[in-house]
Amino acid sequence: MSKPILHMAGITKVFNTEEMETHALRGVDLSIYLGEFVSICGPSGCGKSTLLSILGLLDLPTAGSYQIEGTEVAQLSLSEAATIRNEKVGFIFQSFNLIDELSVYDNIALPLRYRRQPIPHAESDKKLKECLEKVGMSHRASHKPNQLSGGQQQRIAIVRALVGTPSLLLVDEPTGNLDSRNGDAVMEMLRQLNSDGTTLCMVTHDPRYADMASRLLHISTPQLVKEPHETAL
Amino acid sequence: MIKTKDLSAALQSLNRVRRYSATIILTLGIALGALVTLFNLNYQLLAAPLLPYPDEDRLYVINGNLYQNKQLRLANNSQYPALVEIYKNDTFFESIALVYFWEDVIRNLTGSPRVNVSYVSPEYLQLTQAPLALGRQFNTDEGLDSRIPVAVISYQTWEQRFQRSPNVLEQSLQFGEVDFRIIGVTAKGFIEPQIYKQGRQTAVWLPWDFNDTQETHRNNWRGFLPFRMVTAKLKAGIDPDSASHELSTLMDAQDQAALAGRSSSIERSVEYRLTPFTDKILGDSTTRTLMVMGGTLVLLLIACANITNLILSRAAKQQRNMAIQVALGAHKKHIFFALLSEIGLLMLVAALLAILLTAVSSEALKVIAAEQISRLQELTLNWPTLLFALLCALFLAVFFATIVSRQINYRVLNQMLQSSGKGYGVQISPLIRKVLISSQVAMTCLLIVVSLQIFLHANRLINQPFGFPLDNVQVLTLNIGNLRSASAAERESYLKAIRQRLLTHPKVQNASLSLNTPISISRPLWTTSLSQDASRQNPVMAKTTVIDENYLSILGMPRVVGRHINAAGGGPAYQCRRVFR
Repeated sequence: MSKPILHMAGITKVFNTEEMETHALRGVDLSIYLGEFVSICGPSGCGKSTLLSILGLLDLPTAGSYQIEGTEVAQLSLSEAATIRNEKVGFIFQSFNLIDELSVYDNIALPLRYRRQPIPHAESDKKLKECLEKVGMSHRASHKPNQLSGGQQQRIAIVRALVGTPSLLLVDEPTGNLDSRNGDAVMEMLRQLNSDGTTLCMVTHDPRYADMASRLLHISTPQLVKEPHETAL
Repeated sequence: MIKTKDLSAALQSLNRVRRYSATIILTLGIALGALVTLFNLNYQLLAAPLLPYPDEDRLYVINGNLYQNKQLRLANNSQYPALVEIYKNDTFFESIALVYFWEDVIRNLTGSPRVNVSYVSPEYLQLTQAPLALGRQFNTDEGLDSRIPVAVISYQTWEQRFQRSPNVLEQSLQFGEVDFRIIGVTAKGFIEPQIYKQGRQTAVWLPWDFNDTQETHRNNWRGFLPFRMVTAKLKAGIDPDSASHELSTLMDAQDQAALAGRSSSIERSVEYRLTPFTDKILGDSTTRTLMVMGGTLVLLLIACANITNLILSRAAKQQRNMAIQVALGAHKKHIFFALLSEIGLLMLVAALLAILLTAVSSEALKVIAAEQISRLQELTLNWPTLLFALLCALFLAVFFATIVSRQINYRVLNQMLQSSGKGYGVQISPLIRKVLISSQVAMTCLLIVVSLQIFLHANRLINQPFGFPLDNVQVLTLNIGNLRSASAAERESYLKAIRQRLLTHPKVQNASLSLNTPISISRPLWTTSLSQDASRQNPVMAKTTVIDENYLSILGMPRVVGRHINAAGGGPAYQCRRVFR
């Protein structure tokens, strides 16, 4: 097996309020390898979203080790986390999370705008147009998100996640806001991306789509992770 | 740094919230406009370019001051012969001129307009190098004692009275019984130095010889007269204080010599002080304009408190967008510059609106406040003002962006998208809210209290009783024309005849002759030195006027003691409004 893109060991997440302590994750061990399509499922409140947010450096674990491509990232500063998120992680959200005020083109250009090393305009423009072409949305480049259907918005969200060429694509309930036809199309697109070499980690409730992954992880309680296909945790 | 993409995104974003944008632009534009207008004005008064006259730093006005027992008793009044003596003195001055600001009636023009007249020696217009639209200035042949009746008119007079006729130089103006041939018209751009009164524009300059000072005063060292002064260009290298001192010593000696033997001269001294043109022209304008600028600053602060609230509310609404940007790798600085772009655009448009308002209000000020504020004629929108407006906009943009940025909890913002919108990244702290609201209320209260104080004070002044009834009392100003040079008896007889004619009118119940109106602004009363006893110790400088026996009864002025002046009086009689103790 190839080297893991990310590796978690003993990841714990505790939310503290004035009244109580809530353990969202307890001692999670997880490795995801290059080219894998990992699906994480489980009941509501089991910590799927918390895990995804720690995977995407949107949140810090309370304890444990987390490495992305061999670099320890568990306790990065906000700024360092933002840089790694921008360069190595792509996000696809259930509710698309496109910015309504910006055109499709400007939405997908966002990750490139935050690069440490600025990308020349001609180069980024070419890349953006190619990406739109790939998902058949070139003709919608100047449209605003609210002028698109749900399926089209999710395709744009996928393009935005991929445009920065991330090492890992984190996908949170990608079909949650779509009808079955659009949901199928989006899943087919993700499957195709994986076939082309993109590493994916997807959280989903839908067993049909979870089964499309090469590895399925099931979180039943905050501290327990089952692996039906492979032992990797 | 702000990038084009940030600005483009900000524009698109603002386009979706037009009411919000318009509110901020109007609120700030108007408040900033007021501040920038006052900055423009104060810059003009305090830091602006020098006066538009050659060697302006050597131009001085010389006025007399009277001291009694070393206390200033009368300021800015001069002895006529002293002015002429100074004019003839060439020790300190490169060039020197006499000037007397007055008003008179042009008798040969339709409607006999009353205009501002300045009686000057030929050097006066040369000192300021007054540019001419037509003709010439006075020349040395038309100097003192030449009595050549010529006139230079202002561009406005030429425009209003002669419709800019090129033949104006062939025409004349009649003042009293004298026809003054027009020899020149000042250029449109000539800015007359307002050394006598702010906003006063001379319509016609006439030779000094024709000023209406009575012959008795022309050689009288006892009388101190207003409106007459000397303007001079000091020789290079001469200290104005030394010149003032030496001139004063010289004139005081002349004064003492002229009044030798009179007891009133013992304790008095005169001073002729050189006052720079700049000080004379500015007067106390700057104090007032700086105070008003302070008021506009408070107004801007109130507006800023309002705008801070609006911007914070909008930031709270934009938190989802910020969270998306953060999820995609935006750093704090990216969010800050995005905020700065949006706020900066609003501030820029507000600054442009402020500049536009400044341009409009500056023109309006020239019309409204010409008599209250000096150098308004020269007021233009200058580069420092434009820079000030833009710097204010930049400062406010950075200030607002920083305030909003400090309210953003980036760590919470990070988690927003993952927690399905349950969290929040921008929460305006109660303390900030309280500070904003309290400061708004405090500043508004301050403005209201100060405005109310000013209003109440003004209201008291306006509505305070005059001390005598003014209903049905009308004032008729007479131009005595050629009687100026007549004897006092002739003038009196003529004026009494006019009064008799007036009394024949069925609507006229009574009429009185007086030198001044009861409350005179344009023509100040004379000042006379009065003493209680023959020793003339501790005299009082009293405002004085000349009236007939009907004046006080028409006005119903109350008497404290004694009686009103009657017609039988032959010698001098004084009616005092104050009892000396």
